[in-house]
Amino acid sequence: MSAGFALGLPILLLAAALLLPWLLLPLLAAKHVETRARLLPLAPLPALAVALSVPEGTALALPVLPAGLAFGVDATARAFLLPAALIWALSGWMAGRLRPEQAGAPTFAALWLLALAGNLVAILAQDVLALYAGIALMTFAALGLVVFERTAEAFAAGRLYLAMMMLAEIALFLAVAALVAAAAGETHFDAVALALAVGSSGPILTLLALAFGLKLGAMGLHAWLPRAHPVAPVPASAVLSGVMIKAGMLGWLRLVAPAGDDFAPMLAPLLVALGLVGAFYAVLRGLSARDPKVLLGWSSVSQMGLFTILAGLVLPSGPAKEAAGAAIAVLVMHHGLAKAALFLGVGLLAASTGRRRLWVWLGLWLPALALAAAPGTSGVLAKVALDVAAGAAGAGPSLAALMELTNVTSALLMLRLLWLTRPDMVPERGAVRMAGRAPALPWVLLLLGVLVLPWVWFRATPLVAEAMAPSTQFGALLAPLAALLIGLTALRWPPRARLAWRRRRYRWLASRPPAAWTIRLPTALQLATWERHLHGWRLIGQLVVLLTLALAAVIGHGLTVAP
Amino acid sequence: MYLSLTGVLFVLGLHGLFTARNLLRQLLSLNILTTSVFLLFVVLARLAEPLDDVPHAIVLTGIVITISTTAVALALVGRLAGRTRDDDAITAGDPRGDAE
Amino acid sequence: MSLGPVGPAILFALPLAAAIVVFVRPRWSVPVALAAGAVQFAVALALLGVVLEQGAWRQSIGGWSAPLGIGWRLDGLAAALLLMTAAVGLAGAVFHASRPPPPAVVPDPRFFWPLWLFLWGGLNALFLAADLFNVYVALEFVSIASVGLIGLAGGAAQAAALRYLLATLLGSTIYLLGVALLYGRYAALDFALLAERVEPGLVPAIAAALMTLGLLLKAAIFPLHFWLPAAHGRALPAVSAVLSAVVIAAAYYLLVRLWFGPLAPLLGTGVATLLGLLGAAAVMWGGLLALLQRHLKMLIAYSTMSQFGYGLLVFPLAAAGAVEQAWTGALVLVLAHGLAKAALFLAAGAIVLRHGGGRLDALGGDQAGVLIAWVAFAIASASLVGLPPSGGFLGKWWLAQAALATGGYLWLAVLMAGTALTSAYLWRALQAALRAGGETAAEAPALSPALGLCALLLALGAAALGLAAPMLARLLDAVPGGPG
Repeated sequence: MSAGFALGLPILLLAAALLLPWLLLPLLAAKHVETRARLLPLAPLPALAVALSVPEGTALALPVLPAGLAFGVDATARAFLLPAALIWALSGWMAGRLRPEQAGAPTFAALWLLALAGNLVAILAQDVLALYAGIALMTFAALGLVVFERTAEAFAAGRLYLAMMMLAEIALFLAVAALVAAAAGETHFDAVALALAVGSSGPILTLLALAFGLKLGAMGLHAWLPRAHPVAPVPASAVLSGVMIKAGMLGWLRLVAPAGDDFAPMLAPLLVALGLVGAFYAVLRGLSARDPKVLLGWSSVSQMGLFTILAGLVLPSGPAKEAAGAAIAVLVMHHGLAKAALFLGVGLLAASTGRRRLWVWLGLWLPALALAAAPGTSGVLAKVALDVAAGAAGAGPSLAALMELTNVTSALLMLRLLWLTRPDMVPERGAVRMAGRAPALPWVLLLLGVLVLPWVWFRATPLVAEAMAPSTQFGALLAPLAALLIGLTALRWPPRARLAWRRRRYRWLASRPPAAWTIRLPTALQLATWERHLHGWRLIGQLVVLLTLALAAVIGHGLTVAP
Repeated sequence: MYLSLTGVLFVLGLHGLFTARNLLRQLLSLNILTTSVFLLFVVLARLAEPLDDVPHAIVLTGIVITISTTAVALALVGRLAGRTRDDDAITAGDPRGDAE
Repeated sequence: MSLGPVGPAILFALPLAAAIVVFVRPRWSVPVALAAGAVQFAVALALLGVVLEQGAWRQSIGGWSAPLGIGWRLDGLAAALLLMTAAVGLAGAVFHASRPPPPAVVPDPRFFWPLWLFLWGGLNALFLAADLFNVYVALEFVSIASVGLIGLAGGAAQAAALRYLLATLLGSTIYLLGVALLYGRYAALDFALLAERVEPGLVPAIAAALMTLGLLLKAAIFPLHFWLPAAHGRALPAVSAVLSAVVIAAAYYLLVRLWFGPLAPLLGTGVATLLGLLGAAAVMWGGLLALLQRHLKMLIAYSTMSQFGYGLLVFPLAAAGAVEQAWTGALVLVLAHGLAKAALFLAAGAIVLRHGGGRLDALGGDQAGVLIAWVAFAIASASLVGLPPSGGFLGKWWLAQAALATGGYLWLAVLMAGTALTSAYLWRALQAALRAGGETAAEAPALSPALGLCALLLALGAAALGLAAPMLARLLDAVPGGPG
């Protein structure tokens, strides 16, 4: 293959996808708010083109950092890239419509572009350092987005987010450093997976599980998610919950899954159990939330429970791995599009008045039904994919039944969301200035994506054929109907609680007391007092003499011991 | 003999530096400390076989430097003397930085 | 004529000549200082290129060779530090030149530029020096100039300056005593000559202990850091920047030069562990105290103390066998820290001007005019925390590799705990910017955008340093002498 051919269009597109967010950063110096806000939807467009057109196997290497960085397109990258690029573009567009002055604020736009850049780097990475760098950049740029509203609860959520993400970052750093050390300096995924498979990998595996579990918001490590996602500005919530949260899954697929055979017997049941518990627990917590954005955050935790199950199923090699991989691809797109549409819809609802409000509320039904796996939606596809994966793993009908039950609870949660957001429940905040002639256009496009894209994208797989089957579609009616039944019963059953709900005026950004996550330890240890002692002149003199003697003694001792 | 004098001077200087309550005395102690080191150099030059000239160059340079550092220190002490009592000045400043 | 022989001479003589010019003609201060700075930056950059191309070399001045003559030696490490000095010095000079004149009466503003150039020349001489006594002279140059610069801020800074003076002079004297002992034993001062002659024994051991202690005092390593927070926290912004970024690094540079050069035969496990433990204590203590600070500049000053603790981890890791990785890691960390810390101090300088004070709870509210400074602050923070691809990440990466290769899990834990602390205290500072209800200086001066831009350029340099990993590895790969 000639060099000229190698530098063809696909490589250029790949480079453009990675670089465009960076190249747009200097343009934020532009004068007009509208110009700056217009950059947000532009940035992910090359990535979208890459996802749609660049053939697998296209690769790009940069000779930077200790071992160079490698990027490329493969099946995993494509599965994550398409929904990511689409959601980033439409959310960015929507951000410019919903609150142009915010989307055009240079800090917001810069953080947005950096988080996007990090996300793209992580998705297209072909070596551990690029993956780590991308995830880190995305995580910490997103911190700025989380606290962007500058409310007390945003700061509290930001602190919790930072603490937990820092833990994840440290765990990931250690794991990656250890993996690369075990792989004798090689950083490419294949070499690293091999290192994980051969080496004494218990601690590394624990670190990786901790890091990716934290990123994913898996059960037990999820505390930051329902706090951080709702406090961010609406478009940021959409990309946080729709796209960025999947980075944990991506990392798992890249680093752990290829070497999964060794850990599967021990780890897979654990992850499946953890995922199931998380899926149910989060729904219960979500049902008690009154802020729709908090509810959506819990819904994400619940959906991440499904991802945790798949993280377990994808470990053993063979047909089970393929089925689980396919299910992950479906779920990434299905959940990403639906969750982003829900967050954006809730934001749009808050900014709308009168008749449009009703339309937006009706539009919310579509992604809600999709998450409830109602017939005709991508939820059915996801359900089928999960069932196939469970069947291929030999988990049997019990797991399938339990997952069917998660569909019921998801549907219940979505019903609650629609109930909470119904037009007569929410007080109007008055007209909010939105930009553009058709402010909701990006959202409508996103709804369209929720409706058709998963079916079109996965049309070649057997999953679609199975999901299209009338029996499956009829079967899918069961869960939403059951949820509706439970919901109606709940409406009649606890009248006192219902009254309480009604009496409490619904507040969009209810002011909860900020979490008491303050640093008390240094105060408790009286560090300042100790420090003052260390500044005492006499003590310094004694320390000087003491340290000199200690140094001399240690050096001298070393000499006598050494041969 | 001179070697032990060096040692005594060094210890005296160190002790004085950290026990004196007066800035001027502390400076003097520091100078004694430096002098003891210079003395050591001179002794070393004398002990060498044949006589070594490098230590003398070193000591000369060192003395020039000590004069200038002492000058700077005295200028600072002069500035401070007008403002605060000596032992306040040396412990001045809350380590947490609230003083400003 | 190639730059090789002339470059060091320019770096040494130009700042001193400029200092004299500026002292005699205060009115020419700013243009002369900036021109001298720009030339030095260019020369340092060119020298780095030469070193990359043809490797290290040494030369004598005026045909006098060692032991009596003065010699210069330039290798990758020295070239990198010279360039870092030039970058920080130039940015600091631009910052100081474009800062609005202070409303309060500052004792002697005209002394700033001569002292600044004097300090710069001293630092250049220090990095170029090839023998123990020249190092002493350069150290004293640097000390005098630093003390003068700290005292310029007036008020409480003068007390801090005096305290610094006592500490640094004591450090120099103890160091000189060590030099005297070594000279008495081996009749040599030159690094290379000593490296050939030093062998384990009682006198070199005592000399090594004395020299190490003197330098620890100058590098403000825990528990001898008493002078640093006040001195760095109270000085003028540009002064704080160069002190924290370069002057401390100079003391640290000598420490590694000595231990990986002439004293390498003495570097046993015991002393390496002791130094590593001191570094670990510095990381933790400095980090915890930075968390407690209520003043922006004090927070950054304690951060300096904490970050140099990482530098000391090079000793136990190298003694355990991972010399190359520990060495490059620690030095990249020092370089990245220099750029990032200078950016932090310059940004803090602009921010303090804007808000009329540095109390963290007064920094919120309207940030008009200092937005760039905060952006620089955030980018520099990312480098200090060690997000890829910053220099901080690269340094930590190599140190972690060294720790993993030698099973030094304690040092790995220190590295990670320090990272967590760093992120916590820097986020405290950044969060202060976002809060509502800050204060604005009473007669808020119009701030030049150059203030923030200086900090931003330095921060970007720190953040992009990791991208130059292959070049840095090549530059620093020549460890002067492994431990014996």
